[in-house]
Amino acid sequence: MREKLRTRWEQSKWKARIDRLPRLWRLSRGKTLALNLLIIAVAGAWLWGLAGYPLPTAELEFRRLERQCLVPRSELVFAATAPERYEYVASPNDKTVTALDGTEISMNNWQFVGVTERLAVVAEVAQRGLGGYGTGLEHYVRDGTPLLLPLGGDQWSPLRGYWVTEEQKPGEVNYTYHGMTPLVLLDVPEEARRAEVSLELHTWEELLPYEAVCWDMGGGVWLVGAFREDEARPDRFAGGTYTLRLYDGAGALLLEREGAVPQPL
Amino acid sequence: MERDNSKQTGWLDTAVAGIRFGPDRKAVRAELQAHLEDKAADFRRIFPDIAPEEAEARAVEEMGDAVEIGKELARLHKPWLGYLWRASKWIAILSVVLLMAINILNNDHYQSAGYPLWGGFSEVRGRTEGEKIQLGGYTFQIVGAAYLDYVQDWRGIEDRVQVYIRVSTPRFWERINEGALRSALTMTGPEGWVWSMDSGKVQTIWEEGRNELICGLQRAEWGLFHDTYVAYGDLEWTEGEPVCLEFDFGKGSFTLTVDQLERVVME
Repeated sequence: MREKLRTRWEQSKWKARIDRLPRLWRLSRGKTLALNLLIIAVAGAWLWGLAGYPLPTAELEFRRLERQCLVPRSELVFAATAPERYEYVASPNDKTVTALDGTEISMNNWQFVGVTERLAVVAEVAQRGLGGYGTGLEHYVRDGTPLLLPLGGDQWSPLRGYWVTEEQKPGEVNYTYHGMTPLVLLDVPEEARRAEVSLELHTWEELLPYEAVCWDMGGGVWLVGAFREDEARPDRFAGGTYTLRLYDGAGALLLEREGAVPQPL
Repeated sequence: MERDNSKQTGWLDTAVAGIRFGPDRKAVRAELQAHLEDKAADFRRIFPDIAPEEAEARAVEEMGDAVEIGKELARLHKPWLGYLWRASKWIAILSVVLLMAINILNNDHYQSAGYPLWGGFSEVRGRTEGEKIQLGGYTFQIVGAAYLDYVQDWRGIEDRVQVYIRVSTPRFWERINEGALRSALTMTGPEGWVWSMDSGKVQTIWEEGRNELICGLQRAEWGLFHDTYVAYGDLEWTEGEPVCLEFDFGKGSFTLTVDQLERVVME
């Protein structure tokens, strides 16, 4: 078959026309290779652009977002990038982080928190190709004292998170979904063993109280999940207030603070 | 005849055995075969009584040691270059076909991440070339400044200032983040007028059933290596008064000033 096709090509008019082309158009193998590589580079860059310039890892995407937002490169202290494992609950965009007590907490999109000497950077990066949206970054003043910040890259669109508890019963496993709005608590003293947070956030044009569950992520970083029994969700963080109490291992109060939810710079 | 042909064939096989890239091996073999045939023809011409088999055998002897020639040919013809050339040909063809297919199927050209690689929503008014400031690998420059002067009693539309800022970078895969630019930018004008581009103010044109931005930031035009944004401000401006754009990023702060605006009378 190949020989037949080859013979037909050798006898074809097209080959005769190509053979008559001026020598200028018939490049050496080296020049043809160079031209091919140039075409591949241009077409490859174009196709990469069509796909939205994806980068191979979540952290590279975060670092690019830092550069695009002209914030200094930060030290990464929190990252929710692991894929969600509860297939009946999760969407492909959900990412998971595990607390020191083993609880897996999930949120939409990759979430990052980084710190510099004077700034705290909170970013949300949508993973391209999965229909995700909502990439954004905000940065806040950091002074070394405990700092409660909303997760997600937009104060005006509170993020939604959840964790799942499993209950083993004979012959079955029951999963319970717990929804919450995640925040992150930075610069928590090492000796803190328990944190209590309560908030008042704008919901349906009112300021409503929220309880919170707190997970130690290690390294002075805690994840705070704000929730209400009626499953209401806040509209925004601007104008919200919080009360924070930190306790040591013996149950003694280390710190008590009230304040407004910080505004990004 | 068969024995001599096999001698020729054997010599050729040995000589090209070290050339691993198929097309090169084939081409070199054809050339060596042509040399052998020429030599045999020369012998038959010089010695007309010589048998054809003997002419071919002497031609093979004249060509030299096939093993030594084979080593030299193998040294000259590197296989990786041949494979690379062939692979590059097919990858280049595939890439071009894929691009053409995507552009034809999308029925649009230059589509990239939801918007074309270059385009524009509005024309830049009052073109100018202001000072360039570089920060974080981006170059900021005012490229247009205009004062839109609406006739006073005409539909009650507010006069406004438009300042066009171009943000360029050779890193086309990481253009400036629009949200970060909005948060960082504040316009200031005469008599203490200030507007942070983090928010917008619109005016409703009831007769036309649309809203028009009178304070805020919008993308105006873009190319592969730049984005041009227009900052609006509803301030009263008179000739000679400067309008400033103050940028405050995490990496640093700077101010761009424009003294001359083109007065555009809107009729």
